[in-house]
Amino acid sequence: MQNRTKTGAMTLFTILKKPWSGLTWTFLAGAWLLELFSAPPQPPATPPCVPHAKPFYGYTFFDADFVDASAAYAPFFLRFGDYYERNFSAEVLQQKENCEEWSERFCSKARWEEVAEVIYESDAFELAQLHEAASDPTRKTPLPYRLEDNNFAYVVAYNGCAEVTRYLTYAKRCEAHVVPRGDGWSPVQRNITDMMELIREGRERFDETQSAFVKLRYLYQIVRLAHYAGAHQMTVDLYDELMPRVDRKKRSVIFYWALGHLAGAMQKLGKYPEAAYRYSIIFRHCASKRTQAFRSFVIRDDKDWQKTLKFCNSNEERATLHLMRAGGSHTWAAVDMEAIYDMDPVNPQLELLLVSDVQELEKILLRTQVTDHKNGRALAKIKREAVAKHLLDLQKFVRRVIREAKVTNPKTWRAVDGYLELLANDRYAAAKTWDRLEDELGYSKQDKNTFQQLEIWRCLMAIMNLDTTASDTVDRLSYKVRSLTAFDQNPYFEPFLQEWLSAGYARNNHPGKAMIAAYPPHTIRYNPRLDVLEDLLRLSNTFDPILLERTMMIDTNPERIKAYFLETKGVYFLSRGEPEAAAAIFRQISPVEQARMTQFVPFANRFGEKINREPPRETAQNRLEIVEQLIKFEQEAKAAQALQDTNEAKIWLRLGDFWYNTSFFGYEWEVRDFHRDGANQARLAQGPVFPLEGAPDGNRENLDLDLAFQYYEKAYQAARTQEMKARAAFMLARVQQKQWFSHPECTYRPGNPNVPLLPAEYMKYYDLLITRHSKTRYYETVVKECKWLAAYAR
Amino acid sequence: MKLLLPILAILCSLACSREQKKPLEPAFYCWETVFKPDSAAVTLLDSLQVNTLFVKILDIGKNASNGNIEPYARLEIQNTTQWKTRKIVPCVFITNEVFEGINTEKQAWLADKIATAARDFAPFTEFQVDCDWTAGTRAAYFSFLTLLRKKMPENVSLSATIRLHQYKFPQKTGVPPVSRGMLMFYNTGDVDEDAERNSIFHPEDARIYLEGAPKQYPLPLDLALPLFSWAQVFREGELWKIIPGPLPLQEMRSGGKYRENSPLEPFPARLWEVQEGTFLGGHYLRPGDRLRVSEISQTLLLETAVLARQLDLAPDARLAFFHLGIARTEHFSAQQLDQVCKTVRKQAP
Repeated sequence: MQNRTKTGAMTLFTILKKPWSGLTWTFLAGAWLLELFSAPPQPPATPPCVPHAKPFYGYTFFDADFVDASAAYAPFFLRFGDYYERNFSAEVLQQKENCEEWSERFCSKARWEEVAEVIYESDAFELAQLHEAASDPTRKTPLPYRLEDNNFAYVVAYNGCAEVTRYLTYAKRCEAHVVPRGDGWSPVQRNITDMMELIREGRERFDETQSAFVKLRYLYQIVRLAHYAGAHQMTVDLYDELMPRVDRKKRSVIFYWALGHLAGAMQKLGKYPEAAYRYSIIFRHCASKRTQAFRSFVIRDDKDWQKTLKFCNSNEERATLHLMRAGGSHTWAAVDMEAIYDMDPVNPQLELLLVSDVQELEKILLRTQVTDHKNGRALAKIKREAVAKHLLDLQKFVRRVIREAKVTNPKTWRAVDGYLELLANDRYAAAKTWDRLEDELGYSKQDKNTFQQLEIWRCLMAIMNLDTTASDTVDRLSYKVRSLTAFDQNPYFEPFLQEWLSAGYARNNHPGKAMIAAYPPHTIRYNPRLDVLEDLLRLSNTFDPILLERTMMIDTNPERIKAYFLETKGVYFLSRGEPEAAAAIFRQISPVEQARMTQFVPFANRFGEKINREPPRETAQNRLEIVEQLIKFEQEAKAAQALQDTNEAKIWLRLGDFWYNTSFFGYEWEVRDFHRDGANQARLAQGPVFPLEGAPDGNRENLDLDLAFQYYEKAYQAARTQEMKARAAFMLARVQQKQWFSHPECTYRPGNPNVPLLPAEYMKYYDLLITRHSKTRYYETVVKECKWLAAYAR
Repeated sequence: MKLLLPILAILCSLACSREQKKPLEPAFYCWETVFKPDSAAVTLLDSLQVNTLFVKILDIGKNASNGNIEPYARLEIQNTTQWKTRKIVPCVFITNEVFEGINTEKQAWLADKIATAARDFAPFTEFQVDCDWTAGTRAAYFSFLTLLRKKMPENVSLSATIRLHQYKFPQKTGVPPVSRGMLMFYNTGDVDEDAERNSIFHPEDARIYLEGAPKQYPLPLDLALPLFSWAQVFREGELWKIIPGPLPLQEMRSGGKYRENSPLEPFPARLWEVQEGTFLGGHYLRPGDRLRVSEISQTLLLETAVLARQLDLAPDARLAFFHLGIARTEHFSAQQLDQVCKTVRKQAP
């Protein structure tokens, strides 16, 4: 163990070892906590309502095996993803518990699955056949065909257990009355007369039965029938009358199942404390009914609580009540833990509560500004402020437990003590605590699990030790952390590492590096930020290893990576109506990379509403060529205006077409954007930046049509022919219509079969087109193609 | 001429009276899962001459684990006498989530399920749907209402609840395709906020909805006013639970487990801070938990009635109090509620 420990620790040692004293650590811990509380993170830039976003409950670095994985209490207190759902499905657990009891009863001659086949899967006919076989003293009656190879059926029949088979046929008849009925839409209809008749018959059989094992099962069926029939007092009376007559020397899950029905009936009769006490008994002893008992446990007020406590016969029972109370309140449980510890220090559930409490601390302390930015700020300010007190309270309690050494697994508590030191950012103390503990770990399963847990926490410590100011070493150390075995064992490590690095880079004025550490590179294009792009471009000239590693997703060629950022930056300016700045940026892209740029045809005048881009044609240009063309058109238009050239209107129209076609509404939207989300059409007024999962700053759409409008208006004014005027007026009308669609009061949504009604101020150019330019060829063409215009014209 | 003048006077007064609106007809919501008005409730109904009861028959939501649309609760009728002697308007509450991403087939299925389930509660001549629809679900919800209308017998009219924001912005939120609307004149405050203002109704908050609202709402409107109380529990600054009233305030004051703050607000929420661990309404409260208790007093109820004069209610509007179970336990008398009905119809000074 010693060797293994050292080997494992050595890998980490190189990462963790820093020539800093304990005093330095204490100072840093203080500074860290001060920073946490004095400068609360900024509100998230990402809007909270992101479609299809998965909920994020915070990071946890507990290993599911650290605390007793077989403790079926765990789901009530802990968060280990779907671990417990996988292992503790209530339905399977219930069948298994019951069938194992049957199997044990028959000297384990059959597997529990075979028992299940008889009890749960056989129909009434097969059970009747089985009963016939068991009742036949000659042993000549065959087993039912489906159960021929079933060991349980064979043992029952061979031993002539007619009392058992008689019970099974009865239970099958009862089953029809107690399974959930209906789908909620129609009333649950039960045949109360038949149920009462079965209760009467069951009582007779109860009296006739010799076996305590079967007797208890009859009792259960009877009580269950009475409960489902809504005869609550009868349920209590039957239980009270029959249960004392059952020999209960041997523990049986069926006792707890019957107790559940008694508790349910008592609750319906208003006996809440009596019911709560019984549910706590079930919760403590019966795994298969634990969830139901927990859900049904109701304490209305303090009187109920006091009365329930009075029913308890031992400190263990009282401790269970405290445990259930703590489980229902979903918050810091240090007070409950102390109460349980004082009553029952060896209660194994204490560890679960401890882990549950530490998970609450993890949720808050293992969050960075980047976590909030990515997932939204879920935690209240008060909770953040109160965390220091909770941490201290818990540390105090944990140290008391360790000092008094009354608990079953003191090593678990010592490990957690170290983890609390890490969460308090006292990394030096945490490392020392774990070093001392590791020296004492042996080869028991418990010790192995503790060691495994320490490895995970040491990996976490290694991440928290990464110094983002030392860019020459941080990448090497990050790589080492990623190569640790523990790193692969917890899915939270990778996102946590990214966020931790990102937060560090952000603090060191590297917004680009921060962004690219936490998000895939393509996401910066959803809503590009100038500070991010400039930082990334600066870094791309220095061959920064972090940048290179993260941008491997784009390409391995540094020149191509730089071109990627330059093109993004150019598009940033173009999307804001600054083609000259965009051109200056695009020109910095190397000629080789320019040749690789995507090509577009954004100057064509079209009247269709489709936004799908056609394959590039001969006239297609890349973004640099496009902005140069745009600048040229602008100059030509101004010259034409000054010289009163007849081409003036045509050039203004082309400019208007560019800004319309490359907007969110145009077929060449991609010239000025990288990601267009069609779903945003339904909520245009909320734009221009829309929530998008995985987008650090949302997704920006080019909704602004002011430039297009200005150019089209110039075209309309300069037009000297009716044809040209009609063309400009139609485009102006389209622009106004889209502007109305983006207005907060517009209720029209795409997909609506009706023609959108525009307010008068947005109808100006449709009206103009219809009243003044309807005699043009352009109008005749366009009115046939555009159903909206045709409708307005009518 | 002597004869003509009195005739003219009578005709004139008749004409005037025809323009005057009828007094509001009192009604109640029954929102519990079991219909069993006890003798105290029946006395209240009789004293106030309540004929109409809006009774929730189904609570419909989306199952979080499998995404199925299913009822969470179905009404059980235990007092059949009261059921038979009053005019019952069956209601269904549907969560807004149900209409998120629902296709036309599923809408038709849901309409069919509800219409079939409603048959068990026949006879009735009106059916009400309660859903706080949003811009995202409006189209689906309205289309569902149209389908439901077709599935219902011809003599049954369909009504729907209208929230205050929907009343103020009918152009933006749309108007449901039903015969009548029930305006819920409450829930004016922000439930998530740990504030001193009454979260059920506060005149200042209500005025925000009234100012700038269109003078005429496109549907004939009835009015629903609150009688209930609740406590919002804030744990470490976050809303943790809502505990429905009535709350044992007397016990809370005398038990020494709470500290009550006295807000200066004219219509406040009572703020309580838990000093010692205690159970309330089935929940265990811890020291430091804060409770924002909002109640409807008789004064506040009259205030709602005064403000409700500004609403565009139907000439034959009904005033439904929410809800019967609470009215009884909170001890609102028939006279007090009658005064509220009369106050709404009084002319503003």
